[in-house]
Amino acid sequence: MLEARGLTKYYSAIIGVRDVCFTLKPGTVIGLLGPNGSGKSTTVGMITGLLEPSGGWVKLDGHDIRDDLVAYKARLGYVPEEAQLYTWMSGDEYLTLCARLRGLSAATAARRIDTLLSIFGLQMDRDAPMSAYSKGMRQKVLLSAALLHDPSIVVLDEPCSGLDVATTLVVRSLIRRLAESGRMIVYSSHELKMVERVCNEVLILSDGRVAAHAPTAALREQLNAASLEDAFRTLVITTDVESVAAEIMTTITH
Amino acid sequence: MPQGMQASATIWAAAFLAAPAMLLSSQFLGKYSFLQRYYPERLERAIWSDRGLFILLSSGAIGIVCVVMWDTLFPGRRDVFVLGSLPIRPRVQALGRLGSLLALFVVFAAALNVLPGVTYAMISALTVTGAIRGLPAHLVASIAADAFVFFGLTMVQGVLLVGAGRRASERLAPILQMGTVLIVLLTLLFIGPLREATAVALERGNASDPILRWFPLAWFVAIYETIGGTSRPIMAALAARGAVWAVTPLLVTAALYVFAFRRLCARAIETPAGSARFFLSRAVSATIRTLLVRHPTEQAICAFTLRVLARSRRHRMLMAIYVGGALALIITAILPAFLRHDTGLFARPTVASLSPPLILSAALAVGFRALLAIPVDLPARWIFRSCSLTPLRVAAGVHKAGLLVVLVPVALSAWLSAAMFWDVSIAWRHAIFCAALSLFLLELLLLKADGVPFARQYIPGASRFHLLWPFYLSCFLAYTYSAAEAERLMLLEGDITTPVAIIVMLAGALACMRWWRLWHTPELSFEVEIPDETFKGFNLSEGLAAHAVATHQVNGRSNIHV
Repeated sequence: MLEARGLTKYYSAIIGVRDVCFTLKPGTVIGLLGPNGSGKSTTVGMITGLLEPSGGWVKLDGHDIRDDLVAYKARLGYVPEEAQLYTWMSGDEYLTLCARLRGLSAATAARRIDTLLSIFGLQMDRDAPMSAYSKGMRQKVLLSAALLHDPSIVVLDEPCSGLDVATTLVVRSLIRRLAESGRMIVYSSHELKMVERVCNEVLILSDGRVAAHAPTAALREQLNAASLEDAFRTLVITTDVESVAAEIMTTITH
Repeated sequence: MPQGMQASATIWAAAFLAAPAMLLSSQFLGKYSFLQRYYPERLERAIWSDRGLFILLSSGAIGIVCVVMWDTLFPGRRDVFVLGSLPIRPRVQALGRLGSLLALFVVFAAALNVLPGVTYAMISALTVTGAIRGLPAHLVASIAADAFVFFGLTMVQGVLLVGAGRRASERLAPILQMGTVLIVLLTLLFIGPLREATAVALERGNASDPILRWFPLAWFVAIYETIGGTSRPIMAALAARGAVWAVTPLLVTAALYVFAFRRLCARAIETPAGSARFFLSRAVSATIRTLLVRHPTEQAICAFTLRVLARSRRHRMLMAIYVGGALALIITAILPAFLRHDTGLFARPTVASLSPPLILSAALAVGFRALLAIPVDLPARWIFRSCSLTPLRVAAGVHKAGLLVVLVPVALSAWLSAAMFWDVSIAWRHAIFCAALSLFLLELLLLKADGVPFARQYIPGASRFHLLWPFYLSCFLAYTYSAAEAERLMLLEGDITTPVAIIVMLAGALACMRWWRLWHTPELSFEVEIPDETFKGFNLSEGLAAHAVATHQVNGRSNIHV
């Protein structure tokens, strides 16, 4: 079980996030939602151990992850928001690097890399440097790298960014299967429909604070919203969308 | 080279070569007065020789500038993507880029030559007319030599890009860069004989002299003399040749920009990605995995380190500079003997014939250590941060990469050179001695190395070379030439086992110290190192910077790059 209590992060005097709490049981998918700058990436950074919280803690099975970050990271799979890769490496080389960093044996690594590259349609380009890959191809490499070592906690930050429709559907199904097999999944995204379909519960952040945290269906009922998008509008969006669009049109045509 | 460091490195390199030219002018005043009074017949030759010195220093500096700015001389992918979507005609883009290249050249050429030109023109003038013509003569001759070097290199790069393609050009770039550095360093090391030989050839005035026909310095000194108003007929012909060689590369570069700009842009973005899979490299890496690096984490770090050194342009360029420097020193030791037809150099082991592998070892080991601190694609380091890595395993991977980069080529070159000139028994002993010393040096340099290589921000000046260069120079001389002399004596007496055993034991002790330190390091650090407090008194700004960083971190406000 992954627990976060009172997670707070300051950047100098600026608040990144304040007092974020949630509990993630095995087999559940939690969706992290929020507008730009609401603190999603900071929260993800603290959950993955990449950022040290200014306050609060994250515990895995009752142990603070910072007590043994090495052991925690061994159980973690992470897809970052941006596809930052060593683009002078080929997809095959990068996945081999990840597999070895995760301690997989050469034979297991080779077998899994071969299969994942085939599944994602990257076999033909496996030896080309990733600088030549499209955004979607790089995202597929990131997904493969995150899952290679069979992690028990999977943190996905915009995992479908740049993916084609078929692969997006595959990812959606994969997240369900990962959850069914007892893994804990954190899914951060702006795609509300996807979150609504794959997440058991959602955590909505706004201005670095938790605006709502509830099971997806319960949140819709609570706010009397037809969809998660409507609930999100009610909770977070304060601007008049139509008037902003109209203002942009006025600006560019005059 | 890290972002932002390119400009400062360029300026420092240029300043290093330009500073002597500025200082020398004042020293020549006394020399010329002395010669005019006591040896008037030698004055003209001395002036030619000194004019050659200014030309060589200036063109050497501009050559280094060109090497450092290599990747920015022609349009790259980013340029094409940024400018290509804008409504700007290719012709305008080409002229804009050509203009900026010319501006870069003019700025550096002017900075290198104007001040020495003014002072030296006044000092070297024998008549009033000479003084008036001296400044333009100095500027035109030096700038012509600079243009020959700078646009010569851009021309070669451009022709390669257009003719052979981007991939071939990128593969050949380190060789060209290393070659340029080699030529510049050799020129500096042989600057005295080169000037003297040119001055003597000019004095003889024999047009069929190979130096006057093939050595560019003679042509540019001739330009100097022609504008300065010489009466020697040979000078005009040589000056014309110099002018042609100064202008031709410039014209070819301009033509490449104007007529082949579309092609250059297309090459930048359309070059298909080459395969990274080669049978030989896979076989070698499989062998290394089986024999030397068995733990998965060590394999990952070792492979990553070797790939960065082989593929990152910055790292390749810097390694090429280190190796180029080493080759220049090796050639310096060997060339005079060849020129003198000295058969004794390789008849038996001498310092000159034993030192090359050690010079190579010093360059490779120091280069390897220095490059570990220079980051590559810093935002992509999240993969290391999100993995369960221990400092000990990471350090072991780096160490093994170091062994492959330093020990293997050093031992091979030592064995091959000794086997070629002497016999196999000496070859083995020479290879073992050089390998043992290389191992010791590597252990010493890696003593304080920790963290994932190429994954931290770079802080320049950590080696404090500007303060400790006499110490480093002494260490280098002791490591190369003194060690070679010691080896020569040991080879004469027949036993190198004991010294090698002592060196290996010292290396082992250093390795134990490193392992002990890493064993007590709980986790990997990805943050920048703070320069230690010891040097506060020596360099105020550095001490203050260190204090600022320390305070910043204590307050928990350090910027973290994920």
